[in-house]
Amino acid sequence: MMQALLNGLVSGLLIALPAIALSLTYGILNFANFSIGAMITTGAYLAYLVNTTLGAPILVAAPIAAVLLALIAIVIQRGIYRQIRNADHITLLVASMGVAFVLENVIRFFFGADVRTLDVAVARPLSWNGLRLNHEQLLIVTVTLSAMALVAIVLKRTRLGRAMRAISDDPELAEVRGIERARTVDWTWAISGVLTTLAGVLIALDGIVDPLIGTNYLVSVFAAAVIGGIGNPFGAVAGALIIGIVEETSALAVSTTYRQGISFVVLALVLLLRPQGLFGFARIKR
Amino acid sequence: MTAPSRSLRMLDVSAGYGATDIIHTVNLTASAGLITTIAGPNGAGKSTLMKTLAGLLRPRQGSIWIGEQEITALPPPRRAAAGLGYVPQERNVFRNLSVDENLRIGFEFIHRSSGGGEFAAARGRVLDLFPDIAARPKALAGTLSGGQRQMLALGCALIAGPSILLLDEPSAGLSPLYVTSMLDAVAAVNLSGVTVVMIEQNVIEAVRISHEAVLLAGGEIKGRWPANEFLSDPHVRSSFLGGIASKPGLREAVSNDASAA
Amino acid sequence: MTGYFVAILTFVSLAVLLGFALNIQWGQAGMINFGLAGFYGVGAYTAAILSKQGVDGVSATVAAIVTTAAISALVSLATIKLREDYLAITTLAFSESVRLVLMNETWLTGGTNGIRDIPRPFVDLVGGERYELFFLAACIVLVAAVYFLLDSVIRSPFGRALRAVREDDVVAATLGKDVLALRVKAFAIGGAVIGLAGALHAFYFTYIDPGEFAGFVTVYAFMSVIVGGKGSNRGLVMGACTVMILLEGTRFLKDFVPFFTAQQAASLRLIMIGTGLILVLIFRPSGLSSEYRLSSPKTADTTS
Repeated sequence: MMQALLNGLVSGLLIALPAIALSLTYGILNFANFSIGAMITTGAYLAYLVNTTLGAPILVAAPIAAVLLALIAIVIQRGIYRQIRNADHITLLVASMGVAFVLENVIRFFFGADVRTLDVAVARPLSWNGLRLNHEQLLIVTVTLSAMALVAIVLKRTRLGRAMRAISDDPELAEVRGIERARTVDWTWAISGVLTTLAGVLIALDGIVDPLIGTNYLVSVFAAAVIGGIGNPFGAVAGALIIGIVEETSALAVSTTYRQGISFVVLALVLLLRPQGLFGFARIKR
Repeated sequence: MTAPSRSLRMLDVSAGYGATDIIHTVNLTASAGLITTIAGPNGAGKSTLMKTLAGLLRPRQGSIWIGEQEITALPPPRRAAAGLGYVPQERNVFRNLSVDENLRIGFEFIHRSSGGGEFAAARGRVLDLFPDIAARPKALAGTLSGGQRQMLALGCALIAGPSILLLDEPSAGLSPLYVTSMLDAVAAVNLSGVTVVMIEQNVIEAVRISHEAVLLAGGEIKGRWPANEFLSDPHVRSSFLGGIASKPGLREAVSNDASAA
Repeated sequence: MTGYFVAILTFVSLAVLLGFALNIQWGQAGMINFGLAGFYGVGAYTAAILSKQGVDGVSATVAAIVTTAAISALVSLATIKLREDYLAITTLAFSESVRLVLMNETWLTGGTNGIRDIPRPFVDLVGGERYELFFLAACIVLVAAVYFLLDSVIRSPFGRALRAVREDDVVAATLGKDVLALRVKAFAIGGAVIGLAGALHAFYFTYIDPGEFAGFVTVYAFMSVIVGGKGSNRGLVMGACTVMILLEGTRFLKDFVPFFTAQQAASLRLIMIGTGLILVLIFRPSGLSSEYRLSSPKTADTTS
């Protein structure tokens, strides 16, 4: 049980990164980015590419991949989402599904459906009072917590962060106050690209690289963001931890193959009982 | 707030939503360093005119000028950078951000390269003007009272040191005591050289501090008066005050005040 | 070659049915169904499992329709008060859960091996040789029937209320429309049509497995609707044909570019479908065939 709880926390932290990314783009662009799963996959493959073909160690490959995906995300924003006229949030949502479809199949085109692994050494797990924590999990904890701290600092302490929160709060007033929306949107996509790449690399380190690694997390990530009150990045972290723990502990009773099914049930319950998210009260609407 | 005063002009501006114009070939000059009040009945197009000045609405024709600089094509952030401060009527603070963050946002995107010292100084000047909001810098703006929120909104526009200030109903929803102190604050800001263009439902209070008054009705400018003559002008009384005279209490208030002035 | 065209036209009929469903759910009611593939799977498996148990084809089809409609109503119920984004993610999550059940509950669904030798309805009467042609005729008749049924729904007061809710559910609610019931009904009607398409899918292929009910089905259906012009059932036929031509046309791609593997050619086709969807959204947001929108809401309102 304790082991499941620990595993749940770790996997929750993993889900938290893309859930934050999802919440940030939702808050600022006001649409749900369904390509978030494909972005995770793309980030993992970019890291894989730099790691195995260029032979760069993963600690170098991951940041390079993160920058690449950040650039790709900005190109997609400028080339697709911004080009859609009369863009209501549903049209953008459908477009993001199209983007996911293209990204996933571009990966299939170049890499096929083969399962690959990153080029890293395997180490023995740490043991403490009967609880096991392997090095990948330790890495997940370190990287995700650092990334979250960094995002929190950006949001709370920097001009960019204030611009993001201002646009999320009231886009029209933000413009009046001198905030250039397009520039802030680009940065939001860049952050989203970095966070999803980190998640992709961590997932790949903990297992394998295949064209569906990100899509397999799509439902969990959305469930986390919705539980946290979609558009609220700090709520998304809490939502992710809840989802992670529920998924891992439920594995004691239900087959692990139903991990996504559990997320669906949690999601449906939250939507029925507390549609504004468990932490939705934190935002002032009027 | 020490820059030389600048005027704001609209030349033949028509604007509206979709295919229909709400304001028609409006020519308007807000003289440098003065307070100009735009008055008119409900639905006259006052807020549309304000939004067009702020850049939230693109004019279908005509041009807009700050001094000798044309700003017609500038989006709202560039207009703000050009020295145009705007306080919308509603939703004029970021409700989920703190008072301090609201003020900082008002400053930092217009003075991009300035250091923390300049912000602190600007913040000090604004809080001197509105001591009410200085007490709770960490409070979320959405938790402030209506009056405090209105002051914060004005403070956020002022902190950037605009040369022109657009106010959309600064006293809306305020208690009578707050209305007076709010408008006194506007007058104080104007004394430092800031050109003010204001829409105000409370015309009596507005003309008290204004230098000039413009009548807007049916989306057109009907005339322009020195502020102290505005309410006694027969044309104004018939076309505009006639409208509110249907409310008996108001008519009395208006005529009393007009005769007192 | 005739056999090939019969097959293509049958695929188009199935795609058109799925498009009809999206058109009532999304086009009329503004409800996004990203889990279409899952509902399609529910319909197909219901029909297949019952037929294998000896239930006759017509009853199995009716059961598939009813089951899919009921499940659609349930799923839509969970998110009915919220913005469309939530319905999109809930239906997607539902679809993934369906796929998990299909893959893992081997006792019921055969797992990843799927279900083989699904008995075809009326095969004794028609005979094996002409069965494909018969099936196509049946599909076309069903498409026409569904078209006229949906058209009358769209023109009915119910259809108008649905559009009113889509435009502004607060206004619609104040007008006394029961928003919740309207939306659940719309989603269930769409679900019924998906269930029918699923059953036809099972009977046509006589073999189904979970891989056929993955996300790409949803993308194809959305592509058909977007190309045809959202909300237009006539445009949809053209949209479905366009998608099918794209899919089938690019199937020959690998003959011309021999250095691609079959896998790469398949990926390339899907990339083209996704890119096509995005391009249509950017350049022709009202679809390629907006001039065919005779049964669009406006006309329907003025003629009724």
